Amino acid sequence: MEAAETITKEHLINRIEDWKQRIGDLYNKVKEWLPQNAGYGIRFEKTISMYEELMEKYHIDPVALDTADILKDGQIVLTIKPYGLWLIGANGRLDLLNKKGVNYLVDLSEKFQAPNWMLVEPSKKIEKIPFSKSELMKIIGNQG
Amino acid sequence: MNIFQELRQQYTEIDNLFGVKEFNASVRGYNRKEESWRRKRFLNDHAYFLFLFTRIEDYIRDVSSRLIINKQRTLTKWSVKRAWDIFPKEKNSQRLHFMERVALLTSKGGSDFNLVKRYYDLRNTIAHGGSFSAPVDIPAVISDMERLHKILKPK
Repeated sequence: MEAAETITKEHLINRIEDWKQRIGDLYNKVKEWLPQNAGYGIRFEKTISMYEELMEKYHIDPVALDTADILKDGQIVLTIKPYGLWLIGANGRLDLLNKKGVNYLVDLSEKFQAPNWMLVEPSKKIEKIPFSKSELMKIIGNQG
Repeated sequence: MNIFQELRQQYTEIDNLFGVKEFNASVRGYNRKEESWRRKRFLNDHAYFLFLFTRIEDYIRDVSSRLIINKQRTLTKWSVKRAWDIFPKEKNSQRLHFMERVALLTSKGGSDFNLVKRYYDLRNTIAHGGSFSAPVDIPAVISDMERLHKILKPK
């Protein structure tokens, strides 16, 4: 969230740009982590509209954010979607959806710092695990 | 199992269920259904947040009220007791603002006080029919509420 004294329209626009950059960098990282020559791929065909409370309040137009589909042999096995930027206790969250359910990916970094992506396992006691190639492959592999 | 653990389990079940439906709609290319399930998850987050907040609010009202009653009964020196005598005993009294009750349990302006304040502001935004566009990270909220429930005590 934002301390009232720091809020200006320009500041909010910078936060949104930073959010888009972090999402793009994360997608690139995920793309790098996918095993080569094993039938995996990533595509960015859809977007979702970001229009959070502060944007409404400061008359900032909605912003389109990419979602990412991870494919295995042409089938979607995981979808990554931005959930929100201005959260209490986190610098944004993305949702990882597959046919088993949802995992949450939160950035615990401070504003405008390098991201610190942590995976939340909802079925357990809300533990946070650093997001890594092995965690990604566990989720992709967990298709039942 | 306490109420927060119960709510965590129930929330996880529902969010997974809705999430699977959102994912399946996406795989089948049913874009409107996909968006509709995403929206349902979002509104469910708000509903859970409001419910969770009522739990912590009730707890804070209860504990602060017990603290006031205890001080009014046990303090004997008037110069100390007089401040406590001003406070209402009843947990649902509106004469003592909710955040003032929080300040009786944790240092005003400290990190826990500020955390409750942020959640209180968010609760007001959502509950008073304002914006429905504020995202709420429910797993984090449950964790915070459970911790606050443990540490906010009438010391």
